[in-house]
Amino acid sequence: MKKVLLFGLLMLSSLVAFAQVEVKGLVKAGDDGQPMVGASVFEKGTLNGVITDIDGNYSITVKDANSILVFSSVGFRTTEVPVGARNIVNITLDVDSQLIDEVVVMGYSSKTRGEITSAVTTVSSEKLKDVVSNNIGDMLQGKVAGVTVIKSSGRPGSEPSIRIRGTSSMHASQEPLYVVDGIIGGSYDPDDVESVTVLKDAGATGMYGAQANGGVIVVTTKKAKTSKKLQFNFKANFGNVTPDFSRQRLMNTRQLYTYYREYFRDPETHLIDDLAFKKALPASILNNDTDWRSLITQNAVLHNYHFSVMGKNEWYSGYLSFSYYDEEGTIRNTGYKQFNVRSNNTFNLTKWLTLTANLDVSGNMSDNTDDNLVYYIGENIPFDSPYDENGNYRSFKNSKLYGRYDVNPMVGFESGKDVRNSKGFGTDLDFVVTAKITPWLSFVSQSRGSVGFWHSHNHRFKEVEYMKAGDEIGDSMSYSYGGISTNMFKADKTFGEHSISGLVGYEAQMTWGNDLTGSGEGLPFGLSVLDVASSNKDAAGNRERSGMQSIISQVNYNYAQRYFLTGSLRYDESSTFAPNHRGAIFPSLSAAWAINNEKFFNSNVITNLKLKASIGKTGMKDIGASKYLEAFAYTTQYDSNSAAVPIQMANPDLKWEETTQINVGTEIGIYDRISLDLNYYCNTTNDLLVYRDLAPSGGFAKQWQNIGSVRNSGFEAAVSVTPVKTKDLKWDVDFSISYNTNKLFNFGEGVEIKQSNYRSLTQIYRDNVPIYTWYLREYAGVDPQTGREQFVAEDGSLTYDYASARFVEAGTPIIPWQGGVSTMVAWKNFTLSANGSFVWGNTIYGRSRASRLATFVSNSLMPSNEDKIWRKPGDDATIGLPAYALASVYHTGDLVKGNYFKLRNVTLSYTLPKKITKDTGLTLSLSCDNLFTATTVWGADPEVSLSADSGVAGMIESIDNRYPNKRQYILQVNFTF
Amino acid sequence: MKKILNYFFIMVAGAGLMTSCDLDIAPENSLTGRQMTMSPTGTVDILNGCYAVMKDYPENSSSNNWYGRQFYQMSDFSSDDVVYGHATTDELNMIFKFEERHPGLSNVASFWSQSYKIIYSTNVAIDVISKEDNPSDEVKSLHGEALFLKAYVMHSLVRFYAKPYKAETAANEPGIIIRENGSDASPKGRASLKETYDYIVNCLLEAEKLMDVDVERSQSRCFASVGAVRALLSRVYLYMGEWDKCIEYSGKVINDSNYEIAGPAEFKEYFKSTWTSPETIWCLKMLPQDDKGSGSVASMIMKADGCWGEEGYSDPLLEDMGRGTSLEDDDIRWTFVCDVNTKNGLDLIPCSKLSWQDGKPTLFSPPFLRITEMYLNRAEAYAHKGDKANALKDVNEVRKHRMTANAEAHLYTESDIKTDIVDLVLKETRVEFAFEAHRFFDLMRNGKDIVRDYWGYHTQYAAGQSTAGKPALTAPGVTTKNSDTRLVFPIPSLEINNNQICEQNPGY
Repeated sequence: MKKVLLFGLLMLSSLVAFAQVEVKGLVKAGDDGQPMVGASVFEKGTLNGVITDIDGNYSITVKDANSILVFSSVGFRTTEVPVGARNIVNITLDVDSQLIDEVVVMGYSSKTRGEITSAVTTVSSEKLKDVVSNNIGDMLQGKVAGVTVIKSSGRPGSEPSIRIRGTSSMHASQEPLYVVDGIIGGSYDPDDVESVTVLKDAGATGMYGAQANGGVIVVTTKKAKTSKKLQFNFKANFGNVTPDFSRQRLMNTRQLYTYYREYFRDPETHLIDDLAFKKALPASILNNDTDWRSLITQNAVLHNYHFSVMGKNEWYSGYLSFSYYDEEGTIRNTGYKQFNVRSNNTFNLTKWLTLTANLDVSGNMSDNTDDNLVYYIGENIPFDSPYDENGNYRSFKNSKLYGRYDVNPMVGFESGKDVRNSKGFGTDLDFVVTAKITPWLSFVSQSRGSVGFWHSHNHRFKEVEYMKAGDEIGDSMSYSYGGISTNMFKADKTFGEHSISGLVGYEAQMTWGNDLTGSGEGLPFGLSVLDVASSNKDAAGNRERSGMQSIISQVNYNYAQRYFLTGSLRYDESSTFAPNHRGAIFPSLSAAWAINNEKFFNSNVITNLKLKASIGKTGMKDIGASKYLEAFAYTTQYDSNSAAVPIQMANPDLKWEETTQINVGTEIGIYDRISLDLNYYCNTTNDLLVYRDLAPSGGFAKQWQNIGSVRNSGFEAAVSVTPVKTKDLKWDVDFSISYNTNKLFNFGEGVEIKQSNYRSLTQIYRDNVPIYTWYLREYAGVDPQTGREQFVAEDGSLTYDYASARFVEAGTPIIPWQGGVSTMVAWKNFTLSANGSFVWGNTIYGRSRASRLATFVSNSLMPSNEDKIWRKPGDDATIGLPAYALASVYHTGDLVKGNYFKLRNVTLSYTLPKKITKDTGLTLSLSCDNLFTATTVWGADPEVSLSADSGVAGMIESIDNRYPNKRQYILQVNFTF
Repeated sequence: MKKILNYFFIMVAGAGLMTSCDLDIAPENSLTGRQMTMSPTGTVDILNGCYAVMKDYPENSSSNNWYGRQFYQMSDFSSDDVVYGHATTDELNMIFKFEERHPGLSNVASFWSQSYKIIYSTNVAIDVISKEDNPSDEVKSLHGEALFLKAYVMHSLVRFYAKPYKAETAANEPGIIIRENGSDASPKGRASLKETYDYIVNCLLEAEKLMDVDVERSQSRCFASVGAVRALLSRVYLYMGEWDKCIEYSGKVINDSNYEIAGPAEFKEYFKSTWTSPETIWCLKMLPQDDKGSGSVASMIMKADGCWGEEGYSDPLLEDMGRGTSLEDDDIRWTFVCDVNTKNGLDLIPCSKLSWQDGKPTLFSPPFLRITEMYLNRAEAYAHKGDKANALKDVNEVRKHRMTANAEAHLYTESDIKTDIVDLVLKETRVEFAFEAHRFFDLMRNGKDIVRDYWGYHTQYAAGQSTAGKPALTAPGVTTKNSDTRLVFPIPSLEINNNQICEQNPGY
């Protein structure tokens, strides 16, 4: 009630303002000199304001001649003009080219670049959109210091994983939190993105509390800028996509035949048993040479269209877009299509009330192949042909084969025989109300409702050869709905040289999900829906819910644009934890000193100099719901009776994983040619959420626990240089580099946690080693005398016995050094740009080498140039005598350095001269993505997954389980009218 | 108008600030421990879950690593019955290749983990039942069932992860970890082999008393019954060398009218529907939706759709079955011997015994206890006691039921005893239980070496088969002494890493 009273009083005070002077005028844009529609004109320090009309005119009544008018519009510099004795004030607003006045959207609030006190990087749409993709992650690769973007697959539609400032958790999700148009979560099309802001330290992410351990990526979609008329844009991309297998080569028949002869070398006499060899593998094999990989790969086509229209008048600003993205896969029968419709609408209902309603509707369809068929292709060898003498596919079931699998996978690649597709459909509706209560106080209510629907379908007809014969069908559907609502009061007041702003609010979010799957066998000819399956029909379904509620607050203070202070406090409660551990408080504090604004600082060389520091806390709760409860799963049956299986042991003490983040940094600008952003950070995560291995004799193999801490510390440097800037020629170079160290501690004296994947590839967790440190048996190369692989035993001596080899710690897949470089040369109407990124110093596990050596006639992976096969005593070899080859062993010999440099993109574009295009604009460009990779890794692409979902992180999957990366050539047409 | 709007927003803001969400959320496909004790069917569901764990996939693992597959592979692939016909990176490789075994193997770990999950479940069920003051017959029977399942699983564990039982040394050799109840989960060392066997026997003796009641559930051969308890006692006493008790309990089951040894015609079809036959004492029922496809028990040894077919009958097994004699026609057990399949120079003879339930090559409901074993257990016990006549009588009872013709001619007499009557019994057991996870344990129990003098990838001849004749007995991988430490499986590193007072087996 008190609040209502206060509010009423405030309202009254604003309404009693009375007028004395009427001022009129015309507002023009600085770039093209056209009148600006929708620019706002305010009397400083009051609620009194108007918006320019369609001809750029305004009329406002102010208090007196001492009043100051404030002119502002997005993308233009805010300008203050004293009214004085005039009745007409005309003004031309300059385009806001100065970085320092750029508005940076920080999520709950926006700040100008100059006011920022924390580590924040903004990437504009121009810098993002050199790479053509359906997601923003691909576009961020190598462009932001301290941000790792890893894409381990070239599957159309697949999204990369992103790590901001290293790896801070063992098993909880570390993907950054996405915030779209100020609201957590949400979907968008990359072509609708105006800018992306990456929040890297707690000074900025503290506001997102429990969800911010992985950093925050704030996406802002496009809105109409001041424009007299509607502005249309049409963009089209046409591309050719080819598979990129990095350094993974396959042997042809002759190479493989020679290689396999080695398997017949007698371990005693070292002679080859040619009799046995010829019997098992007759020379007639050489008549056939199948390149299995080429049978299923293709040069694919990509096309992508985006159309948008935007416009603005006094009371309405709108943006409408439609996009379509269609990419064929480089593996036959795969592809991805996506459409997106966005409508952003802002209504200035009254002077004090603004309403925004944004709608995003998206859908996608993806076609996939059966992973098993791709696996069979990878395991097939060039000795066998898929064709019979007439050129038709032959059955492998009953024919003589040299390869391992009695399956001719090619039949499954014939269209319509083996179908796997999925469809997704999602809608987000954002609804934001901003009410200006007093000149300094406003109320903002922002909410989003989301609905998502997903369906996948697969069927295989019996003519497809497969391990298991017969037809199969499966359908899976899920839908989810949910919402988030944030209601807050925002204040902003200036007292002389002191400015204070802040907000306080409450946020609640809840998501519901339902899924349903069905499967069956026995399909009649030509039909492929579940209805017609004749046997083994089965169904499953589940329901889920998760929620969170929070109280948020923030205060910003600045003195004379020289000293800046920001403090925030957030309280979160999540359904993940038991009631007594449900809530947590996340505070943060950050400060900056803009030295260049000091009176004593007077330099023509250094135009910007700022020091900043922050400290704060964030959390991570994303381990799935209810992991603290004891649970008996009813997801199975025995002889059609209900059956309960203990799947989760109770841990009522399970709580938040919390990170304390410290950041110090400086921004330096030299003329307007060089800008430098340097940051040092130290992030300590305590109470790590670990899905820990248990002694299985207690009944459970794993449990979620809080154990130990990890510290990520490092520095980031980003340099932008413009060496040349003349009327016709401009050259920009951006370079970023970051270094991160990672160390575990707080595990306790003598505590060693060893985590394995489902086989026994192991990583160790203990004090003073980096996270994900490999813990493998020590390999000692091939014994030159016997050709046997050797290991180092406990006492340091050499042994052939794998089981008695000692375990050693051997590096980590965590990336220490990484960075990116990009450059752009603009000459008259031509622009040439390129960007690349590198990773240096991590250690990854190359599985393919191990399996190649161990299995007889099972795949045709080419050994590397450095590999040498042992043939006789004295040989210094890397590949031992096959007779002694060990299968399913994990040792340090298979670890490789994960270094690489990738040239991500080269683009040449040409903009037609203005004198031809007049009011319109036309740009043509030609680009190539993923042009070139230099790497130390022999075999598949060195970008490997950095999550430990399957037990360990940083393993190169073998050939068969991984969709090849891609290289694409794109022609783009961009037409504005 | 404006004011009304203002009040509206104040109300929205106020509502937003004051509402709070319900954050007590439990999974909807599971019950918590407390809910389980309140559920009227909680105990039954947990016991059903024990059987389900034997047939389902474990958590965080590949579909291959289910209990039944590992049980069959770990025992049979360690024996001299099976040819390793295609090198593989599947860890079944290390079951064949003793010298490559190590504690990190996932098959060894998952069999261990799932066994203990079952033990945990039985303990939870027993904890709940024990609280009842006047248990009904149904509840008593469930109590017995829990004890039986615990004993069965523990005995299978001790056979793989500890040395064979010798009365003289059992008190000093490590057995397995005994988990007494549902809250016994902290680090714990291994009990001695004697303590382990005594514990198992005590569970079974108690179960025998509890289950000797008439309840509907134990009428089904898919669930435990008093017959199953006694059959397991016969087996456990045999492993302990308690010949008289083995004979006593084998006799109890043989005399039970619920069970009847299958004749040749019935035996031919027996494995297609084990749960329907009086041959079966207890089987693990697999429904069509439980078909494990290429991860099934049959997959590796059968050549058909969905099967890898990379393993097959060994020469010495075929010799013992009477290769080249009239037994090929007369002995129904030759039905399961398939045509030769040659690949890359190695001949393989697949086995169809564990296939064809519901016409599916990979579907099969494993009979973990069947009546024929009781005859052969008793025969072995008599043989050890030197009672040749009774031993021969039981062996011949089995043979009689396996011959389609000339049964009399194929019965054994004293003159057939070439070396020792025990060897003759073991030969029959080998033929009868080929590919049924018996042979390896039979050899280990009787102190026999494992001799694999045939070509395959268990030898160090990389190509699998040489053009020379049989591999020499001294060739690598051919002869393995009964005392070889690698014949006892390693305690999984998962256990050792997280339970440091658990002792590793020697040699790892």
